[in-house]
Amino acid sequence: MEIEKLSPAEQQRVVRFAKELAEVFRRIKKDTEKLQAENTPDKIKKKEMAEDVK
Amino acid sequence: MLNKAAFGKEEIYRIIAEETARNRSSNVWAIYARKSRYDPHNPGYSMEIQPDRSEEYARANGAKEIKYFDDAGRSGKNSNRAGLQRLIFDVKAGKIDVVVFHRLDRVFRNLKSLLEFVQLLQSYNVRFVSVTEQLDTHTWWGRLVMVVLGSLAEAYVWQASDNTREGLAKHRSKGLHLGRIPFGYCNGLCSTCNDENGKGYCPLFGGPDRSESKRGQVAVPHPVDRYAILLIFQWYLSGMSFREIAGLLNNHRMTLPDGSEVLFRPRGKRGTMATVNTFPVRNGETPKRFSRESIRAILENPFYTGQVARYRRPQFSLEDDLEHPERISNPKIEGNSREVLELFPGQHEPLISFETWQAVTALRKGKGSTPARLGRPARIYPLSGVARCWECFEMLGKEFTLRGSLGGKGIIYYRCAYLHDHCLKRQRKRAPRVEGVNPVMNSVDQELAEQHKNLRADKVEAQVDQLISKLIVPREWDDWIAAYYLSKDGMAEFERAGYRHRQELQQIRDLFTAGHIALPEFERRTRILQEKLNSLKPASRSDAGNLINEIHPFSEVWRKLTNIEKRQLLDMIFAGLYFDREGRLIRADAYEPFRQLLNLPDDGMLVES
Repeated sequence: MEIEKLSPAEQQRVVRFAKELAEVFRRIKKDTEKLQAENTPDKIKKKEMAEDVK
Repeated sequence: MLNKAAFGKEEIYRIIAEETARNRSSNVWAIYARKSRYDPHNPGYSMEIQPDRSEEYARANGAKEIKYFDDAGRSGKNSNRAGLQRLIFDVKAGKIDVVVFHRLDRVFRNLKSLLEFVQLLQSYNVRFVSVTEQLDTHTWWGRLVMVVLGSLAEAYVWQASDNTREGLAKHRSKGLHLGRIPFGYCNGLCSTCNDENGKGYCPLFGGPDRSESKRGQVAVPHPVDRYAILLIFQWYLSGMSFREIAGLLNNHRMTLPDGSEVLFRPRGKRGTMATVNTFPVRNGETPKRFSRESIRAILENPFYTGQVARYRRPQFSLEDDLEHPERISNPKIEGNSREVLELFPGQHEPLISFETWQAVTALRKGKGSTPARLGRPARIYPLSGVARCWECFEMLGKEFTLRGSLGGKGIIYYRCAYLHDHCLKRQRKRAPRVEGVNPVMNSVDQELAEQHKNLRADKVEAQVDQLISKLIVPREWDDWIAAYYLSKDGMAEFERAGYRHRQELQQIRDLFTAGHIALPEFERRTRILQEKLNSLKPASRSDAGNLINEIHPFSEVWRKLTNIEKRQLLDMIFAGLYFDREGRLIRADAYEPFRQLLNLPDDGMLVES
């Protein structure tokens, strides 16, 4: 289903859909990076040490 | 005609390069036209003259292909114009070589935006031509003239804004209304009345004009609606809320002092929800409704006391964003926009006393205005706006949404908006009678109320998840999704990058067809260019990562979405999802091409009702 062959209204809908999905993937990537940054070996070790002290 | 035997390989490449360069330099011209005040019934000639003059100029200067862009009825003070945005898209996609227009002020009446626009064109090697001014923005003199003329164009909108403000102030000081005549009044031109609420509603419709209106200059009380104003003020003073007043006016007929019965019809923007079955529907249009907001606006308006008020107005603004017009915000009003700053004695007849209005204002201000939910995070329901009540659709032929709400035990439900607004067994306050205007109370539709149940959100949403998991995103869309992932300009950026290669490819084909190059050479060059074009596809770019693998299957993506994202996507895909009282998904109306992708029947019916 090529976008160029759709009617203008359908094309506009598909473009909006593509934009929205792209935005979703950007958000997912950002979340993943954030999660990875929070769970580096150093930070995990620090957390474990803090729990041991408790 | 060239003879391939007469040219070596180097010569052929030179010809191709020259042809491509020539095509790029002056082939495609874009003509832009704009007119701010445009009446389709009386269009005038400007929107014809502008493209005609521009086209003459373009043809005289060797234009081979011309594209037309126009914005009728759009102001030049900012970039929020569909035609201009399409032009910018084509410029970025490398499809335009020259932009031509009749006069500089047709493009912008905003100097800053004009300079940004010229800079944008220059960065894409696009020429900028004004037919009247004959500007060449590549010279210092041309730029100077452009800045001066751009400033003059901008001064025009500032001046127009000042003149309008002064005119409105003068009109107000004379005690005349500004803008649309408020509900409860009309212009008194009964012989030529074109009010939607005229025929069959107003007893004076089609009669002689009312002399007190001074030929439509002064607002005169509407013979029917004036009683609605009396009721609204009296009911509010008796302790009723905005919503209760709106409900009474929407759902019950009233007897007027002359003994006739009437169901008041509000003016203004059409409502989106239907009223009770007795409400007359004309020409298949959705009837209008009184709302909480319209009742509040009436109670706040001192016009009914025979005065004209002055309110705060936003400052004139030339804010603009050339490439993202959706980010242009509306001019803000500093302070409370509803606060009455000044009152002028009006020429119209008062409907209520000033003391009554003051009492209503004091009562309204005395009530708490802080929403009870302030500070709590807003709960997002993914099906809000798209889920519909099948029971109401079948019985009334009307569309009512299902609203998400949190139940007492922490369970989330969807409830029919009609049920919520009309059919609840609430203890209504007794409405006081006003000067012979009495409500004729009709019973609420209890039968319909019994047809409804609160639907558990988990059950309803699971069916939508199951339906959406059938969606197969076509592979052809991958490039578009990847393009928007990689660049804010989306495919425009990648099309621009591939433009030269496509032009070269066309040239090679032309040369081969004309017999100037041999088949092996044609195949070799075509393969190289095709490889270059393929490498420019967004989906094949390494920085798009494994994005494309993640899109398929779509059910995996859907699982990772937040409620807001789900709601936005559902809003794009579906016109409506109908659930019956048991919470079964009966019908799914999807927009094309999503209907095909979801493999839904034409009528959207999923279950035999």
